[in-house]
Amino acid sequence: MEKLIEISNVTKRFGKTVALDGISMNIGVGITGLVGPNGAGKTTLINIVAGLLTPDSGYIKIVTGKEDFRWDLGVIRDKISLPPEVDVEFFLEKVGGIYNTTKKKVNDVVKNLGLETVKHKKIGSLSLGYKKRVGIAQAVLHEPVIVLADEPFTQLDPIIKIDIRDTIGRLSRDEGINFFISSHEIADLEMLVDKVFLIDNGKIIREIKKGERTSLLVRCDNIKNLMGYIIKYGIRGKIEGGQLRIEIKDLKKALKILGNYEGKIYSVNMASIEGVMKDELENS
Amino acid sequence: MNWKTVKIIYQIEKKRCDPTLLSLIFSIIIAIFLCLFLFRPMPVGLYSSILIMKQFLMYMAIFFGISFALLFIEELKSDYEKGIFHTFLIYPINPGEIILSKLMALGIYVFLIVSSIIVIFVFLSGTFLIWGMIWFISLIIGILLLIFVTYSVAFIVSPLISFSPLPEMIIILFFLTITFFSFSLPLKYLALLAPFITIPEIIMGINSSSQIIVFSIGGLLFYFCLFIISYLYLNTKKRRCLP
Repeated sequence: MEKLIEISNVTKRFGKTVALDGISMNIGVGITGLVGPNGAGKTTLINIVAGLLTPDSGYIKIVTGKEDFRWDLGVIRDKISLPPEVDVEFFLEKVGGIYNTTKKKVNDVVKNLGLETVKHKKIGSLSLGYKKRVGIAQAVLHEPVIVLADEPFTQLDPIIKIDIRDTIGRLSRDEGINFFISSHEIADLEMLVDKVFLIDNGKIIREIKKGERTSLLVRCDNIKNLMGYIIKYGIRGKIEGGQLRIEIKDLKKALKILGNYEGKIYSVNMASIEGVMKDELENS
Repeated sequence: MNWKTVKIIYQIEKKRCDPTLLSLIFSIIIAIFLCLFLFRPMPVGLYSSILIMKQFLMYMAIFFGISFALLFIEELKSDYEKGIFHTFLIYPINPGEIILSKLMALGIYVFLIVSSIIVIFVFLSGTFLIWGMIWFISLIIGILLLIFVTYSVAFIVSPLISFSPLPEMIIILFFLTITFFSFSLPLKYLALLAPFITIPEIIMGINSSSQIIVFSIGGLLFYFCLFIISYLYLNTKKRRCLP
């Protein structure tokens, strides 16, 4: 995987609290996730990469080419920190002006992100979903090499969450924009990312590649029956919140076994990263 | 300095200013100042054109200087706390350029409001007929220099924004000190700290000592240098460790 950002031995303290403890990682092309519980150090790491915070030790190298790394970087911050008094279109045009972006490109971004109906409205008067879209628009206007997104799905209702997730996926797929996304919403990230770093207590615990290990989350009429059924085939399972988590090595085989189950199965979902993360956090 | 980005941030900041509210605030402040100045008790023996001007500028330093510098710092602090300042920082813009743009956006409005009210007052009151055109020109220059000093002080304390209320305290102490000690301070130090008082006196021919002229010009350069140093400090703050 082509390396875009190199983070080497980065440490950051706030008083006596160690927010990041010697973090080293490489962020490459595609969509990379950063997952961890609240207070794990995700926002601190994003802010350091964005240049908003200075690490106490270690370094960050953005392998892009421009002298000022900010030309190659887009940032979507967790708090909607855009000037509320200005119109959407005016703001995006001015941000585009900083990067020498053409008016046509600004119009395209406004159209692609579904901001046409609100482009003459003040940012402060928009709903949270639209504000997030403006946040994405200002980050991708100048076609950056990589966009850092800090908790882009927080506080959103499920429909807007899906919309924002699809937008990020589309920008990555169609426009080739790479993303580094921090979130504690593992389910949202799981559908997007190629690779996830698991962070806890300021340390990277694990790097998980998509499909590295898979578990299935199964909802059915009788969990105990299903558990007894899969054990016969040498598959292990665990009951979690009214559903059965099945650890699998061979997905096809597992689905075939589940297909032959005589009871009722309501849903089967993949949960690869979530499963690994749960195990790692329990062990750490 | 990249003037193109300064202009862009200035345009955003100009949209963010509420001209009606600003006009209202500063019209009230200047109106109170003018009323207090007009109706203050004044011993007859001390009633001279130069004293009137000196008092006018000192009163204005307190009313205008403190209120504008505090307004600017509070606006900047609000942007800092809301994260808007950091949003601008993720674009290829330096912190000094962002603060300068904000100062320009607020400063130009306030300058226009305050200057218009004072010029109208001086004309309508006929003061310039009593004290002469040189007095009037000196007063206008004094006001312009006071505005320059005020804007410089507001900008100079801006790097201390994260240590609030330190910048607010510095602003209040600065303007109160130069006003209350303006009669007891040796003239050369007053020229250095408050050239907006001594330069009008020089223009009126009241004070033609070469030492005071040098110190007054030095005073202007002193504020200009502090302005530049603050700007450079803001921009050279270490933001990233590169290998």
